[in-house]
Amino acid sequence: MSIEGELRIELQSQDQQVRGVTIQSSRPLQLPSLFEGKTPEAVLQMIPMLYSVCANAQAGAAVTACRQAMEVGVESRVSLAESMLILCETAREHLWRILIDWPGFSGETVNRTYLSDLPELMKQAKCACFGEQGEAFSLQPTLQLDSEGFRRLIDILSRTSEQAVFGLPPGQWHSMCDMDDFHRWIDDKATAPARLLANVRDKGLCHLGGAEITALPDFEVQSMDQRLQQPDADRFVALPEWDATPRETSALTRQATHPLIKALQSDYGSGLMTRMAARLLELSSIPGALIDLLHKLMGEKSGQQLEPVHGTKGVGLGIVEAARGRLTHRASLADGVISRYQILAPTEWNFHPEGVVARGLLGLPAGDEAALRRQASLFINAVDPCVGYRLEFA
Amino acid sequence: MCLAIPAKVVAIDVQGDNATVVLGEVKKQVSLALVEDVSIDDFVLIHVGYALNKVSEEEAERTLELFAQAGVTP
Repeated sequence: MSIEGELRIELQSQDQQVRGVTIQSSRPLQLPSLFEGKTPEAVLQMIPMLYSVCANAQAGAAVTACRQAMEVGVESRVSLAESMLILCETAREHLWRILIDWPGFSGETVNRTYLSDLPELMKQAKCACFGEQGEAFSLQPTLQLDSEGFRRLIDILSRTSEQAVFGLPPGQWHSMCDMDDFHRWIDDKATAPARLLANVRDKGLCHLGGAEITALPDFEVQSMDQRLQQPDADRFVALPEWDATPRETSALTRQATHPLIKALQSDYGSGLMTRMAARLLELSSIPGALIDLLHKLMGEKSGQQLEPVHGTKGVGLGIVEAARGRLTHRASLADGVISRYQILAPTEWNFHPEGVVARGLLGLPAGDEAALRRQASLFINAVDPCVGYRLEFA
Repeated sequence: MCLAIPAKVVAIDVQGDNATVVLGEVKKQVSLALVEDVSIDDFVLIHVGYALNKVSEEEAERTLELFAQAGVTP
């Protein structure tokens, strides 16, 4: 088995339509067992090394779980800075997908100019919050805020998003609520993402994959805690369902209440156009959200402590909205070391064998295998697994 | 799960766009679009066909050791 594993997605066709979808995962879900017997401090060092793609979201969920299990409080400004880092990472992940994957779908090449500021972005963001030697996402880090430094990073995100994605300031794009404005933006074809959306629309693919959404609700932390204590918890982590239903957690479920997404859903359901627009919308919201968080942080009194959250004694849950959806970590402590560690990642929700991807791929036209591969890839990319996938046809 | 795997760079194409990396016994082609200044013998974290960032040899070894402890090896 490869270290990172993969998703195998098989499409079974009959009468020129996809009639069956099988999704199998070889992702190494046993990895968290590695943390058992280790101290929380050791685990917090290991997590970003192992889970290095969304390392900040993973570390944020882990540190929240460990603090809660240890009943350790944290300064409110630290908590705000950690939220800023996770949001910054979400923007970077969205930009990577939009700037690297999307051009290929419309026959364009990747423009590396726009990517040049992104590789160092998270390192610089951590440095702006916790200093050169500071340890972000440790149990009780010391904030060393360089507000001007962080503001410059927001400017980089904003500028990259404007030049490479929106063709206008992201905040202005985010305020777009009207379908006419949205189609006008597509028609201008000023950026590669706009051209891809024009391509999707002009080829009649807006409804593609538009199965009904069953969003993962805002559950009570205690409910998830109880679910992860059940004897079948390992199966739940591999094949999660909520209220006996596979659920979706993604940029689309997070942006579902925005007027533009409501309008798009009314026209195209949760199809490809709505999904791609939701990712753009989330990206467009982040520079403004980061500025708000930075102002809040700067206005917050130093030393103000957040009380430790009390739940089950010796158990902590960290729940974070990562780029691809909601991420849950649960840490159980006994005698100062981790006795059990569980991670439930968004890919397991969204790529459940009967989940949103499986249902969305059902019914795709299968007369032309090359066209089917392209359409299925577009849809899978729009939901966005955090692991490679292999598409097969039967 | 968002795992990225450390691998050693053994070749880089003329344009500097792609590299060949070695992971255990396996050689893979990865894009260098997301990293700057990569040289042969550097270690990079790879994920779905892309090198994400450079890591030191020590960090790469420590990470691979952790994966091995969990029973997952290249």
